[in-house]
Amino acid sequence: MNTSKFSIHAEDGIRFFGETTASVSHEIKNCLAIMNESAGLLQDLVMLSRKGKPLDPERIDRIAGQISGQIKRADAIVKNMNSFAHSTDVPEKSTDMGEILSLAMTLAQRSAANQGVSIRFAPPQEKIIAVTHPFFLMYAIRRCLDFSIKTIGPEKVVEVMMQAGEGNIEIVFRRIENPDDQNLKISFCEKLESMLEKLGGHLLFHDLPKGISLVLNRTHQK
Amino acid sequence: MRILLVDDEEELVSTLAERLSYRGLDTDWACSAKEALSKSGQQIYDIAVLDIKMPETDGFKLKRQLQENNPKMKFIFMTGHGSDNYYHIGSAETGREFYLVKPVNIDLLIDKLNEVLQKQGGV
Repeated sequence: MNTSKFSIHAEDGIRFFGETTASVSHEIKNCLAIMNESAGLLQDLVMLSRKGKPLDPERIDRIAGQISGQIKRADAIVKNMNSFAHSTDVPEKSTDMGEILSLAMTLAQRSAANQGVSIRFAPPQEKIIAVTHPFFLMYAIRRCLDFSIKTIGPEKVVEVMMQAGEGNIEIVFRRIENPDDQNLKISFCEKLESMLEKLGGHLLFHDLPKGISLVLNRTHQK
Repeated sequence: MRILLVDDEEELVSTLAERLSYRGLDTDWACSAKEALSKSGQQIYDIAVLDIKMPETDGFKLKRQLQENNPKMKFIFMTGHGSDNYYHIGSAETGREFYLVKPVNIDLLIDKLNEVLQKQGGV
């Protein structure tokens, strides 16, 4: 890989890490904000009870449930963030590909929703295990999803699935394409070129229905 | 003072609205831009507290749409997203003192609600 290709993918890889952690911290802030208001509401109700308004036990129970619900939500977000952070631990390892795709989709969910797009993700029916670099794989998945969203038509749904074939593993992104956005295709391919070289894969563009496949030349380890 | 809170986190806006109402503030809430626009078409709000990042829109676009319904409406932004870019846009739209980062202290929010109405021309 030459220096300029390396710096493109190093820069964009760092950008991807930043985008993901910013989005996760935003989600956690929302959980904290809800817990903050719920705790404040409990204090308000206690204050009102001191002034003579009776405390409703059912109401207190609901507010406590709201707080514990947000703790569970924040815990799941932090767990995903932790898995994402540890995806950089080793250059390559035996990886549950469905799990990585699922994590990448979960981390992208809010960004897609903010752009008015829904992701329909179908996990693979059986475990697909292969040796890969989890961080770079998530990066390539995210950029394929970003491209799909940027070129999406009016339906605003991206379908994502994974399948293991003979000597390869394919991640498919399907959506109705906006025909005016063909130029993005060129810059998208250029940006991913060096990354795909590193991952040992390539892109396939489908016409009917419109979509992209990220194809990894990897054997599914049974 | 009639307030509209807008955030896609329903538990957040509904709870915050209830807490403001206990402090004597007439507060309504909406969980989407569409709902906020519908409510502002039916009632006059003096001030809106807007989340910046919401599905399908952002607080800055929503501010402009709400201003079409009510040009006198005042605004505060409330966000969990502390990016420099949003800070600069938010500050330019309302003044940096009216760009609040979640979680927000309710007393500070009430101070800002009073301040924005005075600073931006009053009710």
